[in-house]
Amino acid sequence: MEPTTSYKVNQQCAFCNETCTQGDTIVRHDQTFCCFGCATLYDVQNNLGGFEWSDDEISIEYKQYDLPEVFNQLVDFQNDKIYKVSVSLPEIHCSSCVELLEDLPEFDEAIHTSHVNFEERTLTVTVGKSFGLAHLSMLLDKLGYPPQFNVSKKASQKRKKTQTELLRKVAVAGFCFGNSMMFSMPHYFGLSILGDTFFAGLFRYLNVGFSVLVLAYPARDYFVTAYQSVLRKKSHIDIPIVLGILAIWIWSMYEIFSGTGFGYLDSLAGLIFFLLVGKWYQNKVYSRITFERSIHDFLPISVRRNNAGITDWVRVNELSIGDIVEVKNGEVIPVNGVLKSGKAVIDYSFVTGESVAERTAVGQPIFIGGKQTGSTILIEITEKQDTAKIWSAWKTPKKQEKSESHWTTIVSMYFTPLVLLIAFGSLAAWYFIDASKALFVFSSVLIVACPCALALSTPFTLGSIVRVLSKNEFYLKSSDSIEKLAEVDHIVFDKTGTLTDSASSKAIVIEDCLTQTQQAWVKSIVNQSNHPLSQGVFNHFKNIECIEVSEVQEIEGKGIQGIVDDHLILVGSAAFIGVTSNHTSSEVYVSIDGDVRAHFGFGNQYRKGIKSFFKSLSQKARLSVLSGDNDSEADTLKSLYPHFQTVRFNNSPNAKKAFIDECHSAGDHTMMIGDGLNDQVALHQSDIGIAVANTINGFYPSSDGILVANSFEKLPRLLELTRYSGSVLKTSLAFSVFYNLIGIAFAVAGSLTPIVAAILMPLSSITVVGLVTALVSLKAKKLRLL
Amino acid sequence: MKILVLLISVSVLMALLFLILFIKAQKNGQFEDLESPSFRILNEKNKTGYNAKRKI
Repeated sequence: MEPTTSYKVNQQCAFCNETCTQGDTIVRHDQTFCCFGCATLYDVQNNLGGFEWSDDEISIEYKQYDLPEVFNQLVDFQNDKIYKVSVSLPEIHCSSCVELLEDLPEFDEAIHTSHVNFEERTLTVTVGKSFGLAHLSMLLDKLGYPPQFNVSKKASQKRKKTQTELLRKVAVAGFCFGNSMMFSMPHYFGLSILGDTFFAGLFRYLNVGFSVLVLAYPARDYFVTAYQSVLRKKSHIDIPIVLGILAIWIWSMYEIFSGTGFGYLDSLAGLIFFLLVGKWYQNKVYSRITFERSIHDFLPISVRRNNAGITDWVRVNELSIGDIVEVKNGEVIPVNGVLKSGKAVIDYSFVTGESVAERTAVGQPIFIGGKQTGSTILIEITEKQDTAKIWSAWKTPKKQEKSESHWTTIVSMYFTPLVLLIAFGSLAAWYFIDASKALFVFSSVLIVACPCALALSTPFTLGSIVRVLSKNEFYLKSSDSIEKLAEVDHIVFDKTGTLTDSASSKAIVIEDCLTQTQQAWVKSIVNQSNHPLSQGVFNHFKNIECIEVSEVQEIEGKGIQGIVDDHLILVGSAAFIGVTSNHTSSEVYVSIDGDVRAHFGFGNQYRKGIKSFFKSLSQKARLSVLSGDNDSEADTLKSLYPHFQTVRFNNSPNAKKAFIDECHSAGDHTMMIGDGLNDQVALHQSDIGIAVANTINGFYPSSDGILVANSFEKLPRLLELTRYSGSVLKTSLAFSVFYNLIGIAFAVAGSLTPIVAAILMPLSSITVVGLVTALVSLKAKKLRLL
Repeated sequence: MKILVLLISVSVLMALLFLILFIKAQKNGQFEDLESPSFRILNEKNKTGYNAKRKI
């Protein structure tokens, strides 16, 4: 395989001709490709193929998938010969990816079948047992699709299953609604068929059949929830709905079987159909995103033990004191111990939020959760590894649902008694006016006062807002978060990786004529420096081992020099190398024995448009910044936005949580915006926690939503849209109250003819649904979000 | 008018048939992934040239 380089520019893919915009592109044979799929297929087409891998390359993370207890949890099916497993591959993005991955059986004869689900970005494979899960993971990783197994995948599966069943219910309700409507039609138009007793009877009994079907299957959940709420003596929006449904059905049965009328069964089916569509719309899952990943998906549970040169794999909890654990470049440290040998440059940003990697000298302690960058290190175990204890420190407590009830629940609390009051009131009144009509009026009130429009406005408002947000790559875990977002008046930012663009510390290649050996020299030199730009260059050369260097000298503000393999290597600014440059951004030049061999650029540190971003956010909320880093950036932050409520540096995750608590006791509605794991405590503590991420498939425990970094600057506008939800809800509430008043007026007057009910009831649902969807899309268009 | 009996039963049965077909299709997972079948149709089958080698 040729060395690959990452660019971040818009170019056309040499294989599929699409514009490469999504994330990094691949450069191979001087051609740019949009993904590994395209690059590999290009190789195959031009007979440049050749793909080698060896079993030694398996990393700790993947090796643990072979442990029986993990394996059994991950696979969907297994017998003694084969297993079947679904794996999430977030990198899938085009048809070439699908083609390459479905050709997986070509790579090893143990792989029998391979099937991609593009919408969910998953791959389902059937593999012979000789080819373990760790091998499969490594193969996928080498192909450019690092797999993500989800140990805790049950929750998302369950969510998907309910949604599938909901869709089935919608289909059944729609079927009943359509047919019922058709058979009621002649009745509404007063067609002569009514005179034909045979057909009138047939249509009525068919409608009864459909209504029974609707009540038995699609509407079942409403009865269950209402019954449970009644048992728990709690108010719930489903109670008045069920009351209305029962009123319509019982009265219709009475009319039909007494031969006095035709009933309102089509309205009943329509009502349930619309209610279910609303529910489905609100719960529409974004199956590509998993919020349910747990710590077990992140921390390895088996390690590479290297006692006296013999390497084997053991479980972390089986390690004894004195064992030596080997950790390779890019792997997560799975144990607590002391450094035995090797150059430990450990990135603890997950744990502490500090972005500068920490160097640890031999004999110094090393802590679990860091990520080794650089060469292989050996860690000696000095204490018994108590995995349960370590995990409990990391475990994310479940976000507690605040018992604060939704306003629709409160409305329904008053709604039901009020409707009953009107119904009984008119019953009493009509008893004295015209006793024969009293019962009809009573049931009419119950039928027409059904809160269907009320029950529909919330799911459709929140559902359409969630749809707009996710189009702009802001994914919320649940649509209930929208109302919390609308209340936010204090926004707390994490600095590193949130306000600053972690991808911008990535080197952009301007010129690179280094051979692979020379790359190793340069990498070994920059490994000696803690400067962010050195780290950037270091991270640029992936999969290259560092070698011994001598006479290293770092000149502050200029660069670093040293001798590797008798070659003098200089890495640093243009002035340090001795070339002239007219670029203004940060640059790093590399010279070997006096020849300039490479030239890298680094992007701006803060995200694009951060100044106006702060300005527009500050109109509705106060802003604060908490940083795990040192205060070197204090002045820069001040120049970006001078009115921060609080700016704190050197904050540990717990200090961030403490700050959120302080805000809460001051009565603030907080939103924490941070990056995934290191802010998890604060994300969890805040009213709403949003993780900013470059990909949507990372590990974001306890966040309520994920904002993809590209959409970061849209945040003020996205928040504006969520604030609009309140007025949309109020408008639709006003509409449904208006319809209800008209309906009740008809009912109380004793003139709710079937035709009035048939027009009024679906009309109110449809106008409310149409109104909220239109209002939300108009606002989104105005905010340039659609 | 008696023809209506036939027409009605046919229409209800047809609607029922479509409902059953929908549920069946859903059970078979036809609505789980609406995008990849369109990619799959263009895929070349039985390519050689990956030249994959596994060193054990």
